[in-house]
Amino acid sequence: MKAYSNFLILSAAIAMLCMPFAYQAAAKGPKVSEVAAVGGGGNKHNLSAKAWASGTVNYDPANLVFNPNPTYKASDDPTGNPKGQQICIFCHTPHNANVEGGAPLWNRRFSTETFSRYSSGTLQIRLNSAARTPAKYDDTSTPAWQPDGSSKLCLSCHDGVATGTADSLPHGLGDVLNGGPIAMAGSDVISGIASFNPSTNKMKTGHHPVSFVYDANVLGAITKPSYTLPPTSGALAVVKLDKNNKMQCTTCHDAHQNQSNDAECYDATGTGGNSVCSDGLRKKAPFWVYGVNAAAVPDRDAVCQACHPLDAGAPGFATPWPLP
Amino acid sequence: MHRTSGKHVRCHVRAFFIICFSVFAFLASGCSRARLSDAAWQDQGLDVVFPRPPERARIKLLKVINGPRDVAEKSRGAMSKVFEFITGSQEINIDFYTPQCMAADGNGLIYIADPSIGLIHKYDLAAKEVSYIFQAGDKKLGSPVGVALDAAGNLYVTDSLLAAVFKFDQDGKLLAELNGKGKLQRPAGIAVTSKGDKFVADILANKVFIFDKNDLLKGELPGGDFTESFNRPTYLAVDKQDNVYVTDTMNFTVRVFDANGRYVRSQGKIGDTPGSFARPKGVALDSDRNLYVMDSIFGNFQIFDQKGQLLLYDGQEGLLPGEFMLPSGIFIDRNDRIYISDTFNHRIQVFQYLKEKVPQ
Repeated sequence: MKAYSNFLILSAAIAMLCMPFAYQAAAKGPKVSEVAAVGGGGNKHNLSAKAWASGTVNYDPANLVFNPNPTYKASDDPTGNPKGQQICIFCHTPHNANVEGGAPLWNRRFSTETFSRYSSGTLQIRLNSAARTPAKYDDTSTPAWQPDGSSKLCLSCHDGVATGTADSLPHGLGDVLNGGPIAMAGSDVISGIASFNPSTNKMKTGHHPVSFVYDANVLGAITKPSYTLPPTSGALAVVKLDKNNKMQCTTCHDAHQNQSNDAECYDATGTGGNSVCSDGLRKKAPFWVYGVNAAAVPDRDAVCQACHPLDAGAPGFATPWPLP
Repeated sequence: MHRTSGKHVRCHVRAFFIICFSVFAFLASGCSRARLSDAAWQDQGLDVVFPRPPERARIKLLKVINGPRDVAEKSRGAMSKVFEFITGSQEINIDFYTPQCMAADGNGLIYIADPSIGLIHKYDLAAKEVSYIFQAGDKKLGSPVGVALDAAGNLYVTDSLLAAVFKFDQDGKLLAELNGKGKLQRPAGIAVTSKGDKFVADILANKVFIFDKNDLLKGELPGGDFTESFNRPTYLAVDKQDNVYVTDTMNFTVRVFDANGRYVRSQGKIGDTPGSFARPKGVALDSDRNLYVMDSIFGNFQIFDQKGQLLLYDGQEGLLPGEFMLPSGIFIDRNDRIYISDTFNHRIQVFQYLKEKVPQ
């Protein structure tokens, strides 16, 4: 393990691009695109027919109960089932050339138009100018705190309706100021060894804001004295900001593949213990961007502590969020 | 957030700042059945119509509700903290977090489900009072998503976290938890037919469950005549003929069933052009049985007639009145007022469908 650690350090010093490969020693979950010839597969974000049983949590090819016949289904027969390979569409809306249902009858000035949708993190925010202005972060009278970029894609499904509530209550940028107002309950708890055990009163909420820049300018606009900037060294290379230097869901989550332990869940009581995953239990490290320990809690803490070094030994308890 | 252990808290605002507690949920409310006048629906300073001139206006923005303060300010001027939620000695305003489904009686009473904070906002615009439902008997609501009113004014609430459907009376008192016979997994959208049947979309079960007027589970959709299967049905609505419209979100279409549960047709498919859907969510129908479909990704709603003809698409992503950020729910009351939960702008917008004077 020592040699492995050295390799990590060396990689970080040479080229950050190499880092993702260095972290692949531990067990990963399947890619969303890994549709098996028999039994479907991929991961939970493959919402086509032969992938996930409705209601199941764990990836278990032997026990998949297929949603029998939705419109868009993955299969091993792309010829006979041309829709079968369309596993990306559930998040990434394809362009289509035709107007469905005819040109709108009530607007004769209709011209060919495609609707705004997420395309990639390389796009600037088109309309929401206020959200681009760091000073607005501290202006509670301006409702400028919306998710943007790739996080829109996540939240358009993880809305408490279409997908899980306990693990995916959506919250926007406003929480960077105030902390999430959500009571911790049951499986809503983020539990880690060091940072995120609510019993330590270090992090009382189970949710993190997204779609925000957090730099010296922003810090200057925030009046809360307990805020500081994250450490400038030691942050994990896998923890990425988007092109606009915003934290997004993708900073900690890889929607295409879980890099961490794919088979560990919170226990049913929500007290943070481990349990073999089954229906109704929540994964410890859902689609986690980092996995090296093959154990969810250390992997989670490694990512979170890249910005929140709240373990007992951290100097000064740097807190990019308000203290309780 | 601190939550009170009380069952139901109601705040009244009159000439003086009065807060009264409904310690007993059945305590009658003397002022909550008033009717908001037509003129009072229109907020001043809003000038949003769809489509834009010179086209004939079909949809007009009436009202934007950002939270309890908006209701108070309209009656009491510049009062900044009027409606408070009393938890012990602490006073907390409860704004919208991620409002989802809504139900309204047409007289100014609006229920808004807010799963993020686990409660139902109850806005009575006529009485200028706001209250909250967050308890179902001895259970704290987990993630209330769907709300629907029956003819008697009882409120049905789906809770996606508790996998339950609750029935409340007009004062927020729990009347019953519906017996889903173990089938409910993640109930969301709910609608009530003219006969009192309740249709409940269940996302994980990939079914729509049907409860009869006595709240007994009596069937499910789709029936055997439907050759495909749902993929994450989220929201649904019924029209005045009791046809059922189910948003089949991950099939990117709206399924239409007749009053007998027979599959009729689908509206829309995946894509980014008008008439298509990326994240279809809430559905509703106006008095002309035009079908409205919200799309979270597009930040708009599209209107179709019964022939499937696209009539109009309204709204775009943004912050301004008439714009939306990841909107989800839509509800249309009997007066053709259209309520839209502008989820990530944390507000409700109310529009008016401008009905054709002369049938065409």
